[in-house]
Amino acid sequence: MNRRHLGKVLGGHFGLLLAASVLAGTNATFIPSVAFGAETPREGGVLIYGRGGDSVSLDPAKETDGESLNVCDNIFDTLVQFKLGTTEIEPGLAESWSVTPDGTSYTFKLRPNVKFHDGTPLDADAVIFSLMRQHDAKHEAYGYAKAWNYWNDMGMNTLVKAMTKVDANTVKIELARPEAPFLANMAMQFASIVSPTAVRKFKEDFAKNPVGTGPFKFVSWTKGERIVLDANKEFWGQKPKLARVIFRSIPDSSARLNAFLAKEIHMMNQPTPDQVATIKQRRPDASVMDAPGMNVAYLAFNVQKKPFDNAKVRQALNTAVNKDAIIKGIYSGMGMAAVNPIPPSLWGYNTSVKQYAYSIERSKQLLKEAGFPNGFKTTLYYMPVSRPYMPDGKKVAEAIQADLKKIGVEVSLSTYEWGTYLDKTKNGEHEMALLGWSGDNGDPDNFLHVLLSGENTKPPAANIAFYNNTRVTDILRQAKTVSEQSKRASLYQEAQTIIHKDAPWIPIAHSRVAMPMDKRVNGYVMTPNETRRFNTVWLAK
Amino acid sequence: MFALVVRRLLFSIPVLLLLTLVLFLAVKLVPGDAALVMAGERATPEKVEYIRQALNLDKPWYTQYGMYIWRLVTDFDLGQSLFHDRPIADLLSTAVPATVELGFAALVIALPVGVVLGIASAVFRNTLIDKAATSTALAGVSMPIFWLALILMYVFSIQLGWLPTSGRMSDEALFDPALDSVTRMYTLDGLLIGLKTGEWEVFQYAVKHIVLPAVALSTIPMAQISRMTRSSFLEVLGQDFIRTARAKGVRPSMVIFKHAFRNASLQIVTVSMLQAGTIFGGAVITETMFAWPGLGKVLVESISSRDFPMVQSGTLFVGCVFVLFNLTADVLYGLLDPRVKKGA
Repeated sequence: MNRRHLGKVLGGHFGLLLAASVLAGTNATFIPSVAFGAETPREGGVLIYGRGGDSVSLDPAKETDGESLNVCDNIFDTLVQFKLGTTEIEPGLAESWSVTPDGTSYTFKLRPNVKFHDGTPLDADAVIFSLMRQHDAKHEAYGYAKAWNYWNDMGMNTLVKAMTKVDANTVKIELARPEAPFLANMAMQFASIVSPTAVRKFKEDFAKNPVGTGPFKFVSWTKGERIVLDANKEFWGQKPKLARVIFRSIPDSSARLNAFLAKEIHMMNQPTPDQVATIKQRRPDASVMDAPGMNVAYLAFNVQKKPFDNAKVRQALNTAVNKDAIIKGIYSGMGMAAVNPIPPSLWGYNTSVKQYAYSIERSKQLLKEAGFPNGFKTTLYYMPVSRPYMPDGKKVAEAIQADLKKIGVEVSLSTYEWGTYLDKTKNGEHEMALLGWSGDNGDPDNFLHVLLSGENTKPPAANIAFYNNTRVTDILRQAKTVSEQSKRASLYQEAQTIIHKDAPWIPIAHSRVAMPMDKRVNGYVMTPNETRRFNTVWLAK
Repeated sequence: MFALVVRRLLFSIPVLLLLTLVLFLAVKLVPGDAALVMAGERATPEKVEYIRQALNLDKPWYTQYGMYIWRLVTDFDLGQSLFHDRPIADLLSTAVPATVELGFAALVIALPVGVVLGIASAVFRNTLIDKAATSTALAGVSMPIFWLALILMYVFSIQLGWLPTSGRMSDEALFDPALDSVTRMYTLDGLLIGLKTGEWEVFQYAVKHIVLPAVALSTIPMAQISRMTRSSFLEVLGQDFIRTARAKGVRPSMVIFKHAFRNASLQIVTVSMLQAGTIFGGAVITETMFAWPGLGKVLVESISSRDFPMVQSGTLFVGCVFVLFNLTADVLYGLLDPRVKKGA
């Protein structure tokens, strides 16, 4: 949302405006949009949230998709949590924690007198149960999921060494090695604390009968239609104002738009850019919030192949691509040009790194210095599927092809079926390839280490540029072992400077997420990691 | 009659077996490593391995097929959905009632309207009525359903505000389908509640929600039925016995509804059963547009989530539905036309 629009909406409807907006430009730090109305928040009301798909299950440790996790956001809590609207960590179910100086042992002190929705107490046993069921193959509840995906994806299976109960309200977790992002992992949905009593009772079916400590309690789930949650009046944090939240599934996006226009739903998830325009025109009484998504779309050069082993060539190509035109034309403005591999909503983002300014002359000059005065021929792989960070891979590829032609670089395009595509790029068969990444835990490590560390260049590699700068790899490894955030931030900033100079990628864009909502919806906060939590929301009459 | 049914049932066994083979091979033809395709971009090697073992992908295809058929025949096991991690039979049991409810409502519209339109245009051949009816039918066949659905929503929900855009039950209703539904068909539930308590709110909500999708879904079958009715009526009306009937002074309505209708009905039954098979096999577009979680929607989701066991078993189920309706058509032939029974 740009400033003008937000000002208009808030000024017009909500009176007093306390916090401001997301800036549209690059290099902006993400500040959540929070509106505090002049009216007193109303108690009660049913919020209807329209979305594109049903949840797969409601066990936050089992699933990785947004539609499952966004419901879980309201039912469960984690030991530590992201401060609403940021990627900073604040106390959750643990009111405090400490880390040993070597960074391998974390002790969490639990908030006293917290109860699960089934009335059982939250204690050290529940915490250990919730985490160990994903970790220990011998655990009684380990077999209740076919795979604990996220636990393994985030490397927790090799990281966690032991979990012990110090006393009824204290848990100690020991790690195999120092790993600072561990704390951010503990704020992710998969680390939610579940009621052991309920898991024992429902077994595999816990995923259909979730019991947590969160601001809303599970009521019912009609498959493919809706999920109903009721307010948990005993919630330990900010108590929900809404009486009930209903998650309605409306898979077709035009039908979802119609439901919003007909005022059947209060909020509409995942509108297309065209639909945002329609809503602004047809329902002037509604508002559309937006926030940068925690993602990046990029073009990776395979730096192990000629001529991309030459940094000058990579810089030349970076200078030749007109990102603003791509954002405007293909992202329909719902995105921002990427400068660094991490989105600006993350802490540790380096604002002093500046975009390679678009210039054909400068690019040609660089190519000449690199020894390719007449350009060269190469291929670009583009994604066959649409992803949140890249709405249309083919169009992006065609735009880049046209841009590079201007500096004499002849690009032929090719694509493969999605599974094959991932396979080929991970094995480095490409010269240049388009891909992207959606962040998990809001930690820069989750972008930089995964996608650009030399440690991840062994096929099948996540670092599909096969970029292996020893200094960068060292910094990224070091940043895992320091637990102080300010020190880590400066390490990541240094890494971004080097990466920018080496240019293993053309960072293309960070897409933006829009959320149209009825004017009666107040207090909703958009978050960088796209969680949806409704305990701050209230509905005006 | 009984022998006919049994023989037709036996005939359908090889048909279904062939169908399983075709489906199985079609799934095999999907390019790339099936396990990798299903696991997606964030797959861990463990997950890929899990899928590979769950589907026996490490074995030769004929072994895989044999195991699939064996489980299907001996345990009636449709397998496990990879995406939902639930038995496929379980998923079908919630989707099928939704499809049946919607399909039934669509047929309730399509059948009488189609037959009446068809008869009218045959009887009043080459008049304005005929032209109006045939162009309605033509429009019905050619209109894309997703477009019609959006137009219906625009007119009846957004502009007039009479009917809801999508879904099966109002969020305002106290009736919670997950907890209160007995039959999984909400109109039927509403009817039962109404008869029992005299409270008709649930029934009204359910009917309001089913009108638009049922109308959208009924257009194509209605058009097909009306065209078939028209042409078979025209054929019958030109025959000698009709002329004889008219000549001996039988009332015109009697000629049409007694003499002509019974003779024309064979073809109407054929086309209706084919259309019913299509409808009850899951109406992908209508269900998706109106957020109606029936069989079609489940199948499409399983394709996009690359849930191959679900695709395989779901399509097999649809195949069974078709076979069933074909069988019904055969039985009806026997009832309507004594020659079929004797000739059998």
